Amino acid sequence: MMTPEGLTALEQLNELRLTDAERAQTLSIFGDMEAREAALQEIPTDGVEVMVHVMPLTNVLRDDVQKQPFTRESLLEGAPEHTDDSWQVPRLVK
Amino acid sequence: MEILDLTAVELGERIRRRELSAPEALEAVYGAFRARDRNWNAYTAFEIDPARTAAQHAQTLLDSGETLSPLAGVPVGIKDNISVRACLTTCASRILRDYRAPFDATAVRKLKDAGLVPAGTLNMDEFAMGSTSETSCYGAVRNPWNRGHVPGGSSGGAAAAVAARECVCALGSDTGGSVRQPASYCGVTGFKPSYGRVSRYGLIAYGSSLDQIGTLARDVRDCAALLDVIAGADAMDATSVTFPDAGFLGALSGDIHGLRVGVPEECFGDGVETDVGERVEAALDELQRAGAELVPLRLPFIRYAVPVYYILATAEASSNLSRFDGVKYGYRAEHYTTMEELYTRSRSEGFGKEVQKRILLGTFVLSSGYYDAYYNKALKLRQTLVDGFAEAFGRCDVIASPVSPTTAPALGASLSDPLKMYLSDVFTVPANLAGLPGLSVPCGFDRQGLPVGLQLLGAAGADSTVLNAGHAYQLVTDWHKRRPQHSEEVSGNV
Repeated sequence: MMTPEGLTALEQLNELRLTDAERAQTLSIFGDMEAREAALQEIPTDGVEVMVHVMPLTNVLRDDVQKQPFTRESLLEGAPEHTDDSWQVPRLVK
Repeated sequence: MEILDLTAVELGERIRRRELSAPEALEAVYGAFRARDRNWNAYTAFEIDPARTAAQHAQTLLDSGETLSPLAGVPVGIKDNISVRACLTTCASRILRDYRAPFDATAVRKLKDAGLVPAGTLNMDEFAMGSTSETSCYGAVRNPWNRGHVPGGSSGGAAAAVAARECVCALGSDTGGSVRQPASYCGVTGFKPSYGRVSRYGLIAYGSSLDQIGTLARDVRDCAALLDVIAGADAMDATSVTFPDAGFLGALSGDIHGLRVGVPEECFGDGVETDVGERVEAALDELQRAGAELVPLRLPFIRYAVPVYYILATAEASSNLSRFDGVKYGYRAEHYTTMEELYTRSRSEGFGKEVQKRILLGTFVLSSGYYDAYYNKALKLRQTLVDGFAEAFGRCDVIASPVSPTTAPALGASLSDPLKMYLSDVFTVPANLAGLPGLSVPCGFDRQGLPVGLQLLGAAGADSTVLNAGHAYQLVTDWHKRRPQHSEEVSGNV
């Protein structure tokens, strides 16, 4: 059962911050969803393997060839803030 | 006949015969967008300069006698979550509002290589999370058959643009029905290929084990022709597959004599609107008259498909969307002092409420103490669903049902009752969970004049069988040729 404290912990894990009104609404939706999903527990799955992938494929790795698909400049172009060669963030160590 | 009344295959044929040029086709689409899109809000952006360059390039290739796709020169709308190099690709989210993709999605690259012209990005539910196209940061998309109703989602802009003759055909994405359901609500044809049929490289991920790029167009022939261009294994997507069949357009014989059409009793009756049930049953009669054999089926596992889907899709989304942090690209909050504040404020201000809710739910089902009860249980049930379909496809070749239990809801109705919205996905999510191909074809209208869609599912890899069944239906019906009157008439301040 999702509690207000549990929801706060989820917010922190996800770097999200809800308002009090959003928190109340989200708790209500969680309650509805949990009730539906709890019904799944009644469906027997003894002996059923956990599905890993929908297609029965075995991956074959391609040759390890070094490529440069993007230039540094093209990737920095989309950054909200950057220096000449790096993304820019607030100081982490004082 | 106007350019925008042509199907994509017909338009490609005219371009190949030099009766029209690729730039003329593009300008027709762009003109329709400029004149009419304020009615529907189907596009998020239409960057005309790169589209004109691509159209001219396609025309040059055609003029030089290069052998290209039958669709060479045809403009294609692209859902706003499929990367087009140097163009805005925003997932209809504030957090990516100014993001320009530094590369083409493989499907887009294949379109360009075949001489097609990416033309405009199409509105959608934010990060494809929704069934109504109302959660877009650009505002809700309207249904061209009735502006007071939603177009479905999440590829609602694509479906609305095709229906309103603002677009010839489009690429969408389908995680739980996001191509088929809006196609049904807007009276156009939508196809979700088998999982792995089309590379997901460059499709911004929602639920990676469920996502698949699909097509929206006027008819099955257009969907097949587009699939011929974009299908195939790709080294950039380890989950992509080369299936043995190919040549989808060429395989459309329209002959369905002896085709076994499974009719699951769970998809008719309680919960399905009367008009929807009647129209789909009439479509089954048409298929039978065309030579198909109807086979009664039971698919009891369908009842748990929706909760299983929402556990798995949200779990994958919570992981996929952790990359959006305001550092490398996209939106960054204006006010912050610490790194923690940068992350939290950027994500809280950048993501819409439906997206935040699904991220939180996904993290919950993956958290310690709940992982086995929810996530692992859902994965086991997914396996039972795959096994159930495999057994069903031993008795039939395609499975027919309504695409959705209802026609398009009124604007706002679903957001006020999200649980009802989730349940409306009941007939579409099983195909994503099992990786099956699924087609939506128009099969009539309800008494409000809103379109109804027939869904046809096939076994994994049997895309051609599904497309041919839909083509056979369209050979003997004309529902797919109907167009909303409003698409031309609505103008002025709306």
